[in-house]
Amino acid sequence: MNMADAVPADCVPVRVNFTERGPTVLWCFDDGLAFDDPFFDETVHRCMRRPLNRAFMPQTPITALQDFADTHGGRQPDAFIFHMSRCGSTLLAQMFSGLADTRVISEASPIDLVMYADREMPGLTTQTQVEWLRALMRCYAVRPDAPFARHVVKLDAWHIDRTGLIEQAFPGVPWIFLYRHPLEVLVSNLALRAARTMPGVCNIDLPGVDLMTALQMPSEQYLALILRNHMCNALQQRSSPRAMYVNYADLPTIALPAILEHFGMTLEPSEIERMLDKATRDAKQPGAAFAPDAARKQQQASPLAREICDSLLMPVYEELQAIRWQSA
Amino acid sequence: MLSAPMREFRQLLFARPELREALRACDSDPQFVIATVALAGQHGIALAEDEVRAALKSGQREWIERWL
Repeated sequence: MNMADAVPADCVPVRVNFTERGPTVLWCFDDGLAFDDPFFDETVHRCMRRPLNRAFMPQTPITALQDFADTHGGRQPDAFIFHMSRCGSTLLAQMFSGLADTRVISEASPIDLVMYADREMPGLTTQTQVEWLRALMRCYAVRPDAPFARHVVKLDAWHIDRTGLIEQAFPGVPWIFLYRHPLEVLVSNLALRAARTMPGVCNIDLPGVDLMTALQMPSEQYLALILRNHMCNALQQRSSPRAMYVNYADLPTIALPAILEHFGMTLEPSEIERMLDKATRDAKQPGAAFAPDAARKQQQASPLAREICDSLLMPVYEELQAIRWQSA
Repeated sequence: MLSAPMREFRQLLFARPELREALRACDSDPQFVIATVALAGQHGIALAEDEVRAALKSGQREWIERWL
């Protein structure tokens, strides 16, 4: 596309392609949707049902992100949610999506693509990657007529190994790391396996584990190594003043005031009520009511899962517990 | 790759929110093809229905490839 074709303000970036001519961005018209589905791609799929989007979606060089964000006053994120997977991050994102004038972006695939652009483009400088990331995220909070009051970005579980990029792109922006008893997380991942947790599919660096070794491991062990990696990466950031560690067990009610304070957000009681009302729904299937499942997951764990959890995950979990937010 | 008239019409669409709004109302592809050709014609751009269908197909493929 010709750069002269300015991207309209009602567009959002939905994909980044790494081409021989450089990275390009595919956009779609947002269709006036609030992006309050549990995941970003769900909303984009709804947008893509419209023929208008399929016929006329803008495509630009990646540098257009910056122009778009500047032209339309894109708001930078106010807070980030990192997590170890299956531990309440979607719940928390959904709670924020209950607030008016609040943009919540949940696991947007273009963010993932830019976060790991250095793997697609050897020689890419960190500075450029940081600029792309900053511009991209600002593009998600554009509303010229009524600017957003808040912008919360929930990242993918493996992005905890990229906190350095986030902190360079958005210095001073607070973030939390959500975690949960690892046996419950392991059982959840085993029951419903994410494609990226398959050996050879994911781009997660597991130190000392090559593909052949990974393929020969029991699923319990490979998944546990991934979860351990997420938790260890989170622990490495413990000295960051932007970081806060929150256990799923303290969601939604107990930790919420502390999370809001950490994010620098002052809300009216009615707004907090709206957030808590969202928490009564199943975060990933908002049509259904939330049902506690910790006990069931603990019971479902196989002897092998328990053994691996005890040896690989519990020691790291205890370290997280030691630095977690706790009510006074 | 869009045809030249389609690119011209797209530029017009990008600049005119009310034209986008008119086409956004079209839920089905056949309805959209007819509305696009008519709207372009009203603005002096001659589009063939096949050009619009080709753009829809290309866009669909582009989006689906993201999952491959």
